[in-house]
Amino acid sequence: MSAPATRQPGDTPMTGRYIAALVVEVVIILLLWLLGRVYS
Amino acid sequence: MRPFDWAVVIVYLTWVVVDGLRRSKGTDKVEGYFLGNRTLPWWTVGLSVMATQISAITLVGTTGQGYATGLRFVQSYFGLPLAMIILSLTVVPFFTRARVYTAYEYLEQRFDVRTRTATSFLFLMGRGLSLGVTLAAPAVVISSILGWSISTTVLALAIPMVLYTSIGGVQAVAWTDVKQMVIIVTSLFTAVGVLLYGITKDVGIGQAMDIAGSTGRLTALSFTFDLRETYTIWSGLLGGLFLHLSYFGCDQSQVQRYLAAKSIDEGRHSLMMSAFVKIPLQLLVLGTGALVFVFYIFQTPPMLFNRAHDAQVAASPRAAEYSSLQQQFDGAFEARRAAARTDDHTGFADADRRLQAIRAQATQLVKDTTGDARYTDVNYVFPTFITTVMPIGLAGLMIAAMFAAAMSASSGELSALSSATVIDFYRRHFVKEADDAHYLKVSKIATAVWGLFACLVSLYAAEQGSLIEVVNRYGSFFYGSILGVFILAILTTSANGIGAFWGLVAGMVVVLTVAFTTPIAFLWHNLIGAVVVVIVGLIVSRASR
Repeated sequence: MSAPATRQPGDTPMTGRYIAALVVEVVIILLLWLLGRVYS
Repeated sequence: MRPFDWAVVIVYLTWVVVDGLRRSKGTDKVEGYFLGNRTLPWWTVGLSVMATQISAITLVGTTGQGYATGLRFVQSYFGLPLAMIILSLTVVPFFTRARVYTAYEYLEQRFDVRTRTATSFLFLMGRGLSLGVTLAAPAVVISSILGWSISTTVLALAIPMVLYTSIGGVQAVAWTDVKQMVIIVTSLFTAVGVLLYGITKDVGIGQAMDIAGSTGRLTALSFTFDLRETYTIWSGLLGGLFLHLSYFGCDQSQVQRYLAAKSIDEGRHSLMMSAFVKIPLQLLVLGTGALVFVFYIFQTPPMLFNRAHDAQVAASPRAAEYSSLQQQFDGAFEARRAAARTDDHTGFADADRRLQAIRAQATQLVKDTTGDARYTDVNYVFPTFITTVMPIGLAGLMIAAMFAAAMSASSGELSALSSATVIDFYRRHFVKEADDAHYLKVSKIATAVWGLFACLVSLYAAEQGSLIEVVNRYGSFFYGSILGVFILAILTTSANGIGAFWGLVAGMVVVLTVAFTTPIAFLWHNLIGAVVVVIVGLIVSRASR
């Protein structure tokens, strides 16, 4: 890996945002599954 | 189309060009022209990235899919959020720190000039042809709606787009995309409002959902693990992950946009916008199509939505046969509407099957009469709704949205083609030592030349349905393989230039073989290509030490 080990200004971790994106996707998939179950 | 609708379209086109040209300030250097001096805010980049993906054919084709089959297509986007996270952690910081103009430039820093040139060449070939199709596909539909010739429609789409892209560069593209996204999303919500208003005159929302659900249109998920089935949750999560990793991580038309962001964080935020918004946006498009289906249960639809073909068949020697089908269609439609109103599920399903069978016969009749063997009626469903149902002014807004979608999808590709041509070929191989003004001039010329090339391809492609299909398939042939090269570059330390190059060749050969000799669905091609490139690349790298 050729990335520098130290972070530069304007390069901050976004772990919370990444987790939020995955949670939103799981919720959407669950809602779509429910929609299909209720209206089929 | 009424005069006021035309006025809306003309005002929109004028506004796009004038504002696009106004945005050309600060593009007096190559970095300003191709990367907006790396100063664009994340939300501009994020909206621009999404606008590039929404082509006019997305608006008409995807709503048509929603009309015909419901929400299933959304599964192909399930891999996108994870892809955005992986790219935010990997390529965004790599490319931004490397201060490159193109994604492929980084490959020379990591491997060698041969690998850079090969991948950039593949990009130019694929995108160069697909840009023509990006213009041709909507031109075919728009020309049918407006009654224009295809060449007039292509020129109406291309001239404003090439003008603001070649003069204003990526800044004009990005800021125009922002406006175009606003127009597209506003018009979709407006259409949903009109549809709900029309539907609730006959039934409540609950009954409308029941009707759509009884036809399977609200069943979005398929858990079947079948490599031949195109849209399943597995092909979406795995195949879609690799498709989106490749598209957003290795395609210059996307990479160029987040290279223009102010910082690594701004680039990441712009990609994460897609992670949050893309699936709901796709559901909005598909849901609009499903609503159009419910709407036309209560309002009489045409038997075939392409009115030009309808007229052609009605004037042909098989007009009597067509007229008989029309009578059967009218009877089946009335039976279906009555069943829907009385909540008679069995009667509704029977009448719906009869209607679909009659439409299939009518479509075949069109194919036989016109010789257009690839005719797909679903592409004309939403345009028909727009031009015959939408109120005055809103129809114009919707047509403007179709122009917006066609131009936003094309302009990003055009700018990316120009940057790869100038940076990866002209400046790297032909004229290595010249001043910035020279490269800027060449960049503008390259943009205009690619624009001209796209017009010529689109004029040809519009007449060749098979060519459109070939070009679309071409994209899936090389996407996964290019992704494999970037995986070798960014995630491994042992791969070298020889391994990356021969891995790329092996990946292309394997994907072509799989595509032409097996029934495996195209979303899987991206995964297969990437895996083959990484394996072969690592083996050859080790052997060549």
